[in-house]
Formats: sequence, structure tokens, C-alpha cells
Amino acid sequence: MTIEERVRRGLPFDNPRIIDAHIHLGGTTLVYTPDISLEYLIKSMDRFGIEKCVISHLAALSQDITYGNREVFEAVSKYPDRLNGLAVVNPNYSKTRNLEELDNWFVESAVGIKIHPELHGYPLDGADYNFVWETAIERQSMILIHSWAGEYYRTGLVSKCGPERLWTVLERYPELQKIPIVIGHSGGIHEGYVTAAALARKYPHIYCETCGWEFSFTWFHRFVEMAGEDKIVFGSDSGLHNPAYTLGRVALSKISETAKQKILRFNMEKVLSNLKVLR
Amino acid sequence: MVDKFFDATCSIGTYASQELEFHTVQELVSNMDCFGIESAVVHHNMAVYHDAALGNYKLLKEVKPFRERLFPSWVYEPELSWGGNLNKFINEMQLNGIKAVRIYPTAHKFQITRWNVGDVFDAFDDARLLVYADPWDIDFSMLQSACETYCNIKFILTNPSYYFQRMLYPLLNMYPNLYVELSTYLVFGGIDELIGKFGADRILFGTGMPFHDPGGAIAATAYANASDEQKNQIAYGNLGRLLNDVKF
Repeated sequence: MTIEERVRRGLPFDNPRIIDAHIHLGGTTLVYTPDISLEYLIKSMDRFGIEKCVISHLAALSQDITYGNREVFEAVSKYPDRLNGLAVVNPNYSKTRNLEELDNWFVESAVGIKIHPELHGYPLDGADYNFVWETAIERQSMILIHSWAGEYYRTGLVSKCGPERLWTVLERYPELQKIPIVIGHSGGIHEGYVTAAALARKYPHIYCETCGWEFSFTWFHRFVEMAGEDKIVFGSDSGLHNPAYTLGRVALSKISETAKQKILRFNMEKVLSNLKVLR
Repeated sequence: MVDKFFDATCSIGTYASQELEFHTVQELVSNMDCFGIESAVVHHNMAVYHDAALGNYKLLKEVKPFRERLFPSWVYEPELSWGGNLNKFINEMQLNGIKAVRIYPTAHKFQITRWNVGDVFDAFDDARLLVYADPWDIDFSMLQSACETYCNIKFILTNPSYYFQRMLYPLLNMYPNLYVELSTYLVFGGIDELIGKFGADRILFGTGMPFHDPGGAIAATAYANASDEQKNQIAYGNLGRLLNDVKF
């Protein structure tokens, strides 16, 4: 059965099972989500055939990093074969506090760091994020960045998390080129897709991720032409988003079966299997 | 498994901010074939972004060779160039088989109030038309008032996103003439909850082509926690029923 046939029948993936680069635990006051429990999340992963994921906690992004990180790593300890935890940091807090937070969770089981320049209101290329790049290099971990390009609607304010800001960061830290960086949402809108794809084409360890597509107006096969089938990883934003949408977008796109398999599993499997996170 | 799809929302015509995947009616039909979509309600982007009357008639001309599969949807604005001739406007809709209308109160700067559009909406109500509104473009209090006042109009929340449930649920609860189209209903667990709380008959499959690729909405329907009968209601049955109920 092809990937498209499986999706049209609403069946879970089994060969290969999916690896999801972008999942959340917990809710947020910003939107209503019917069920934010860990049990429902695991059930949802089973329904779609998502074997493993990379996960962070929404509370850590929107309010309390320590609480959110603790919740996520407790979940990881319950499902170590399914969940790979990311520690969230917040550049509005001191470097000392953030490094303590990272020390705690890297010793536990973190595979990397998640940052959200938009929710934290701090630019991706600002100096207060330097500790993130330095820690990832030191510990050989991955980084997942929330990215969204463009100006804020009718304000003239430029996004703090546009992927174009990564060019500066990568010039500042050449060793970062060896660290897997996943550009969450691939910059969101079409302009962001163009930049994210250019970054992924240039740097071997930079990957574009698929969720949040609804503002891009870019069909998936076009994005594969832009970034390359080896440089896109599947991310659902489960916990906020219904994974069916992004899954269907990939599965029914006009790309080869091999390309779909790489995007749904093998590219992210490569990222995770090559990680040598130093505890 | 879903038998077939009837797309509640797609469009033709170009878009100034970005070159879309396609813009002609031939390309739309070709993509419908490719994705297994049998029929669709379609509007013209010219009617949304440039001139409603011009775009609406352009739509009619362009979909003419495909009228068995494409149901034209007009964009309505309080069009002063009709010279206030309501009868002429409604007759034109009836003559051309227009059973669905899209409104953009914020972008087109009007209100669904009796003093602004009351006569036209009375006529829409008499005809039991489908009226599409986008939550990014309509105030929910205005939508509430419209659902209450014009209870024979079927209001369809299109491009519904995952932001508006706290206002959408009470309205779905209060007004049986409100429906949700699925093109961007991204809420985690949201479709299952919609079916459970309000019933599968309140949900319409829609793609949003050419802005969105259709695979997402197809998969969202296929993976819904619902019986095949309910999935088919969503995929095509509900929209067919609503269109058949229009008095034109």
C-alpha cells in the first residue's frame, strides 16, 4: 500500500513509522485544545503511526520554563522509547539560570534545546541567545527554533524569529554548522520558506520542518523543490495542531514515495541517531 | 473510507501578494481530478480583491464549461453600482444558479445590520442561501446576530483556523444554521470534538485551493474518529444537502 493510499484510508503508518520533529505537551491560554493530557497525545501518536517524536512543553514557552521542562522530562521518563525531550530556555532570564536549567535536563535526558523568540519577545540573533549556541556546540545537541518571517501585520515591526536572522548567528559561530538545527515552521509564510530553504541548501545540518503551513500558500511539492527532499523533516505541532493536516499535505503531494519516506521518518532518524549528546 | 469529495471552498484567479499554485479554472479541474475531488463550490479572487461584480461575472464565464462539477459562489458587498436595484441583483443570482455567497465585512467595510444590508439578507434568507464568512474577517458578535436574525441562511465559517473555538462553540450550540468548513480547522483533537458535541452534519469538507494544497483536508477527513457514514456526510453529503435546499 502506498503512503497516499494509507492516508486516504485513515490508517496508522507502520512501514516506516513516522518520526515527528515538533510536538508539544500541555496547553496554552492562547487557544482552546480539547485534551492536553499525555495519554491523549500518545493515543494520537498511535493513531497516526508516529513512533517517536521530539517534544517540548507549552508552559515552558509561554510562562514557566522550570515547570514546563519538569513536566516534559517526567513524560519522557514514562515513554523513553517514544519521546525525545527538548529543554526550553528563556533569554529574558539570566544566563546563569538558563544554564542551570540546561544542566538539569541534559543530565536527565534532553536531546536538545527549544527556543521561541516570538513568545519570549527576543530576537533570534540577539546576544542573549549566545549561550544557546555555545551550549549546543559544547554538548553536541540539537536545536529546534520557532521561526516566522515577515513584518507583524500593519505594525512595520520586523519579526524577531525570521529565519534570515540565522545567517548572522551561523557567521558568528562557524562550529554551529555541525550542529543539527531544525527550523520550526520553516519560517511560516512563503518569504520564510525561501530563506529556510536557502539555509538548508547551504548548511548540511540545517533542516526545515513542516507544520504551520497554512499561512505559506506554498504547496508541499514546491517546497521540496526549494529545500530538497533530504532537508525537510516532518513536524505536526501535535498538542496544538491535528497531525492529519500536515501528514496529508506530505502524503498526497506530487513527490516520490522515497522522498515521502525520507521526510516522514528517515531524515529525522538520521538527526537523532547522529546526536552524541554530552551529559 | 470516503467515497468521494465535494469541496466547499476553492477559488480561481490570481493573488497579488504571491504567485499561487494555479489560477485558471482548467488547472482547478485538473487538480480536482488529481486529488479525487468530484465537485466544488468556487469563487473568483477578482471578486474578493478587486471588484465584486466584475469578478462574479468573470467567474460565471470561466466555469461555464464545467458547470456539472463547479458551483459558482458570488462575493457579496453592498454594491452601490447595482443602483440599489435589489430585485435585479437577486434575479441575476437566480438566473445564474448562484446558491452560495461569500462576505468580507471587515475588508469590504460593511456590517450585517438591518440598516446596512437588511433588504439583501432578507432575500438571502428567503432563498435559504449559503453565506460564507471567514473568522479573520468577521466579528463574532456580528456573526451571532446574523445567525439569529436570518435563521434560514446557512452560515459557513470558512478558513476556521485553530484560534476561535471559545467563540465558535457557543454559536454552534445556539444556532443550527451555522456550519464549519475544514480547510484549516487545525485544532488538535478538534474535529473529533466537533463531531461529538455538534454532530457530523455541521461539518463540511473544504480545501481552500489554490492557497492550500488539498491533502491536509483530505487526511483530516480520513482520520476523523467517525463512522464511514459520518465521514461521507462531511466529505460530500452535507454540502449537497445544503445546496439542494436553496430555493433558487
